[in-house]
Amino acid sequence: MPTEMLEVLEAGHAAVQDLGRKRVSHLGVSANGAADEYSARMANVLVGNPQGAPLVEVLSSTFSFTTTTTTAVAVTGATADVTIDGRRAPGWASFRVTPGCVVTVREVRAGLRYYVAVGGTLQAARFLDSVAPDRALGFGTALAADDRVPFDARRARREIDSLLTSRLRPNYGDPWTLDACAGPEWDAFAHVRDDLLRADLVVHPQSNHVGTRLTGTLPSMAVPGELSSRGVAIGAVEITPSQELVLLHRGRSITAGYPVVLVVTAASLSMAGQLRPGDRVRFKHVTTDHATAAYRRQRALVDGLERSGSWTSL
Amino acid sequence: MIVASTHSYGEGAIYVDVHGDDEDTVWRATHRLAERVRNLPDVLNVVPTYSTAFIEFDLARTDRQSVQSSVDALISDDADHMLDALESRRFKIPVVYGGDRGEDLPALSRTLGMSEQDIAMAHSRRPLRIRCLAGPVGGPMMAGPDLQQPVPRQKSPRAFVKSGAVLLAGRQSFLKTMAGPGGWQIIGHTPLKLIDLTADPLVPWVPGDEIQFIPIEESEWTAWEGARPHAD
Repeated sequence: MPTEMLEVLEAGHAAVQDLGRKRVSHLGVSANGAADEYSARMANVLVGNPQGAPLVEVLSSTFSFTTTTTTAVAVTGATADVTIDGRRAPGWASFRVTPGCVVTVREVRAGLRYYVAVGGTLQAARFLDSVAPDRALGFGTALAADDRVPFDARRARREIDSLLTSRLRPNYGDPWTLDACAGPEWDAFAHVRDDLLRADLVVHPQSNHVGTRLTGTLPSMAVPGELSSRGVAIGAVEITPSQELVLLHRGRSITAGYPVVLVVTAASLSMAGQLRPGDRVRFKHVTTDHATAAYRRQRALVDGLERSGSWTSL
Repeated sequence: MIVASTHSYGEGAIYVDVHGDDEDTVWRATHRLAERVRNLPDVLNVVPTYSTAFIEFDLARTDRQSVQSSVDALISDDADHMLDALESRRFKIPVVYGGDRGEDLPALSRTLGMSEQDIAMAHSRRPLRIRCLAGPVGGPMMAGPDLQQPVPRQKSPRAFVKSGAVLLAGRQSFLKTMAGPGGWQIIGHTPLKLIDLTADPLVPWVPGDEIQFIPIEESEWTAWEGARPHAD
């Protein structure tokens, strides 16, 4: 297969991303990977890639590129304007671009991160079998204008009914409601957990791939004794000594010592990857059965789409 | 006597709480159990630390109830195995204590009422056992050294601590394998290159191994610089 190029014209805050590192906690290495896993999987399925293929994750900025070959392109995640040579193109759908066509994504309105998949395998440096950036290790492929990313182009793309794709897009809305299950300190914090679930929280600007800081009028939450370091979940909502809440994302360090009353569900975690500074957030308590079912429905939607399309030659 | 119980942690994980007569037995039982749990189908990650093991599983393939009952069964079938000794190797890590290499040592000496030299001696008197590994990659957390009182953390964490830093907080020691933020007290630095991201295995040590710190002089730094840690 000839190696083609994705040529970056304007990079914004873009990096090559995938679903991260699955079984590496015993090495003291963080999972990392797409902050909005659902959107990343969808972008890949729309262009006919495996769900975990490398793609481009862009943090609320303009990203513009061309390719050296005819290929399928899909943009998912945050709501933004997508154009091909200046003409509007749909988000959450696959479209065909020819060599030299300029694809531009700008004006992110709702949500924080969008995903750009091209039909084929983007090639970037790998660490423990993943291209996912790990800022703590200084690892990753951040993109800049004039960068060329090689990819093995697919010669066909998946045709998916647009009625189907219109149902894929989640509602990104401020205020957000995130589902959360009980964490290890659910019982120890019984006296404040209802207040925590009623609190109107605001996303703090100092938030990143490691965690989203949330501020608001919180109940006084005296920490019962010092907790020693222990493994901590992606999605855990930590209560810090400064009475702030930190929702941990995929870049979280694998151990921590703060109390955790709520754990954002796997299905809601993809939504949490779209929180913008200043957005308002509430947590809603759900059972683990409810959360498990919601995650499986989300995965079934992606898997179903993967099976549904027919292939057309490019 | 060891008592272990499983608890819910969101829908995609559980954790095990281990209680027992003394810290060392509890720690060993936690890590022994973690070894077994790691082999269960659909378990993605197990993070044993001191008296807890965090267990993350593949939610698309299994659920909390199944994992919790499998782990409960392991605990009740396997109480004896949990007390088995862990294999242990010993790593010698040279350290320049104090001065520019250990900038927090003077203040810590005043806080603890011990001379800088006595702190360095206490730290290197006997090997310290690695209790668990922490991020960002393979940083060994060790119990000890025994000091009169716990070491306080920095009031506000530093944004940047160099790799190779030798750190104390509470009743624990830590080796910083990668540069990054940190709130522990810096008492020295090792000239060794602790982690090579292209090496296999990525991390030279596992929980249960021991680290023997060896005080060296600043003049010996370059002779050690960049060498890799290896077990005796």
